[in-house]
Amino acid sequence: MVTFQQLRAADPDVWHQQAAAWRALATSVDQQGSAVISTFQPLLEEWVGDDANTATARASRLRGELFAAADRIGPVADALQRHAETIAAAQARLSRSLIGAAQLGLAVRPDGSVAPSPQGLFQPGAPARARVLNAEIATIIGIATDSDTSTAAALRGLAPVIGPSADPTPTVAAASVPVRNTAPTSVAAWWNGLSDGQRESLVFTHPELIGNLDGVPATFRDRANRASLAVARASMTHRIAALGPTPTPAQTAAAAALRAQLAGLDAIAHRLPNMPDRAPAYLLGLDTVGNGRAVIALGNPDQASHVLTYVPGIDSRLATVDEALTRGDTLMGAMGRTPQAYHTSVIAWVGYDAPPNMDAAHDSLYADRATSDLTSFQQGLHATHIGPPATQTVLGDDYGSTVIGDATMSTGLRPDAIVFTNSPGVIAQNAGQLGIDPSRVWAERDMPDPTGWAMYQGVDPTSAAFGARPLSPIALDDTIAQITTTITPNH
Amino acid sequence: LGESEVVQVSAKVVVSPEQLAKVASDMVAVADQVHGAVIATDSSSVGDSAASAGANSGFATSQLAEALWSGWRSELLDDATKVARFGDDLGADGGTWSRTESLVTRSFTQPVR
Repeated sequence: MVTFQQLRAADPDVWHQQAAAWRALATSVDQQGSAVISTFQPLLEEWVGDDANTATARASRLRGELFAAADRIGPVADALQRHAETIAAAQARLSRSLIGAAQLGLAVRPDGSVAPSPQGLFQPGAPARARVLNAEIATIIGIATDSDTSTAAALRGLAPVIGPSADPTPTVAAASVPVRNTAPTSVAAWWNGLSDGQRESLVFTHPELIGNLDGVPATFRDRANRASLAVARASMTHRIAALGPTPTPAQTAAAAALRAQLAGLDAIAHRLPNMPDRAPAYLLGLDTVGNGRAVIALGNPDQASHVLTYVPGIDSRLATVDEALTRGDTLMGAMGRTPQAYHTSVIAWVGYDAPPNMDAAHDSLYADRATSDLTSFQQGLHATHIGPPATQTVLGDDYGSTVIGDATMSTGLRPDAIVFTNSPGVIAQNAGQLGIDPSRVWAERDMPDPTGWAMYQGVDPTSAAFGARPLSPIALDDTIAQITTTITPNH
Repeated sequence: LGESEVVQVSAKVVVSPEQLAKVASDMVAVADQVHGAVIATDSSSVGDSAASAGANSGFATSQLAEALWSGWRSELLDDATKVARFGDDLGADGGTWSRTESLVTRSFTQPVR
């Protein structure tokens, strides 16, 4: 039973707000029920047979479950709305009674009972008025109690009917998520031990923890990072706006950096939606700290038979990620001209802090810091791949080739093939020191090298002494695509 | 293979792997939308246990509403997972399909020895 004090203290706005939220939820779930069918429908124009029938039945069942959920959620909103209105009206009526009591010199006790006040005790008619108000307040409390009882009963009847497949433990504590730099095979084992509900829950509750985690499948990393991308774009826009119309010189510089990063985020966001005649994009990594990083796969690497990871060079960073994406699409176009077109994936790996200019490229520190991340990423691709292992080719352009050379020497990067283009040098003395069969190493330079660029970081991989197979700069991407799609696994 | 078996293989590879992959991706996006709706509700007064524990805590309605959301949250998460799994399965089918298609194509294009 609702008490006098509870009625006075109640806040009907909370139930109003809850009703609005439940209503919005019902609308959304209903729309997604329709979306299941509209999304699936295009397949039925061409797909026939038993499998098509099975899939159609599954789509219909899913739609039915979402529609059924929406049908039960909507009335929750209605029930709460009615309850909020009833309680608000009861409070208004109670308020009028209390004002009347005060005007008549009657006292209202904490339990809601009304009695003549000491001052009004001897006024004519006071006891009778007190009895009337007592009855009125009891009626009001009765109305509130009835509403509470009937609404609670209605809500009880609108609980979901839990099916046998419901997951009772869908959430995962952040502390149980493997930390960065955990071996990708361990991450994959952890991930495989989660229930479907736990994986889905992680995508939404901790996208920042799994988006960059090597060993998590590409599709889940992609979804997590897309969520992070939306947050990052909103945050950066807000930070730029917060600098105000008259920023200091330091703020102006900061704003320029933020705008540059935002442009990179926008370029990623522009490439992510499915487009005709272009491979679907998967955002496998995103980080806005410092120069920012991004890793975008064109084609699903977990399902591809041949994966090419492109490591760009000087000045590659989040703000210039559009250049890496363009090169990735160009390479993917070349892949499309091979017989293995549908089994390939190209990854633009802007996953390290690259030197900002040629002077800085003298410093091997940039490569040293990148090696473990590149190796971990490649190991992660192995760990999450579906079916027979894909062949992995790494292409290092410019300073990216130095990174690859370092990674083979220091962190055990073992791809199936390596391609160096326009390299400022690698620390290995020859191709045989890269840890793979030297016949799987190619090197190319498409311009004269008057500055000695090719030996900034060690040995020129195009030199005869290095022993890599030469590549012609003519139709270079087609040649790289041929290498990527014809190389066999390196045992 | 007999003639009728060849016809059946042909019918099964009529859907393009790209089309399957796109539908699979879109289906996962539908699941994400359901998830997004759950998260949005979590952030509303429905998922705010402090709101329920406040001024209205003495009402049975508030206690029921809180328990109700707990149940629906789990249920919708389960529904979203099923939709995502459906998308994942379609995507996996697409991957298998494209490999099969390639093998079939290759078997047709390679010279008979």
